[in-house]
Amino acid sequence: MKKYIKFWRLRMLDYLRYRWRLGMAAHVFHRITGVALVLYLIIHLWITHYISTGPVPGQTFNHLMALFSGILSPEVCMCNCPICRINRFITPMVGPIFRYLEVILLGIILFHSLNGLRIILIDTGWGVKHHKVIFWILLVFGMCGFLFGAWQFLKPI
Amino acid sequence: MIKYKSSSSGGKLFWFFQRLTGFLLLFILLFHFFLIHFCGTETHMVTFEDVKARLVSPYWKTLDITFLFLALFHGFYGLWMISDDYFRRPWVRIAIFGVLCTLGLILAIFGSLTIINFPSS
Repeated sequence: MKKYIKFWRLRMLDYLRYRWRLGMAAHVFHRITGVALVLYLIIHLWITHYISTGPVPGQTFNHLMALFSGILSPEVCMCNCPICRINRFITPMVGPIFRYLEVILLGIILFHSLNGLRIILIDTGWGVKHHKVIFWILLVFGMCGFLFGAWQFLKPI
Repeated sequence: MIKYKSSSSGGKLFWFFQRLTGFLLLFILLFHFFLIHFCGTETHMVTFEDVKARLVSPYWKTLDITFLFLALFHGFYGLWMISDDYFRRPWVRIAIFGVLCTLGLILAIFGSLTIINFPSS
């Protein structure tokens, strides 16, 4: 007789009992960011397809981009389409929330890509002995890129 | 007891392509991100006119479609690897594989049609 241990009952408790090391934490986080990036890609493709829809070419897209930039320009205050109404509703309440989400997206992209680079270095055999050092070096590069990008994003606010 | 699964033979080509697409995507994605967000006419916003100026050219269109296909392959094969680690029963794996393939194909066709047909509504 074959019995399967229930998936969730095993996993939830045992997370805390693992001996957490750097490589393992990096692997887990790499998977989590990977799934998050796939979900983001699906949402991004859906948003970007609006570039070729709508009665006036480009109007829906421009209004969506105004929603994501979090800055209320005069034409957004005048217009009455659903996107601009959502924009007028959300932006005074929580500020430019989509900008902060994009900064977080930049962080996720940098982590996943630099850790992927580290995995490729390990796979070629060269990086196996030094994988922790490689992680910290790439982390420094990633933090520099992240701070630069976050500064550029949050500058107009 | 947990049923042990023997490691499957092969998968070499996909392993290699996952690394290759990941490496290419590193550069193309960072280039795309910084181009879209920081090289437009207005500093705080992406506008339709910027995108239009870029995407009427067939060279940018091919680059974008290639980028889309590489990203979809890398992402969905990654999802398949994760679900390969967690799901053992054969029908579950076949179902998940089918869902991932269909979703990947639908997104690839949808995205490339958007790019190819670009300036028309």
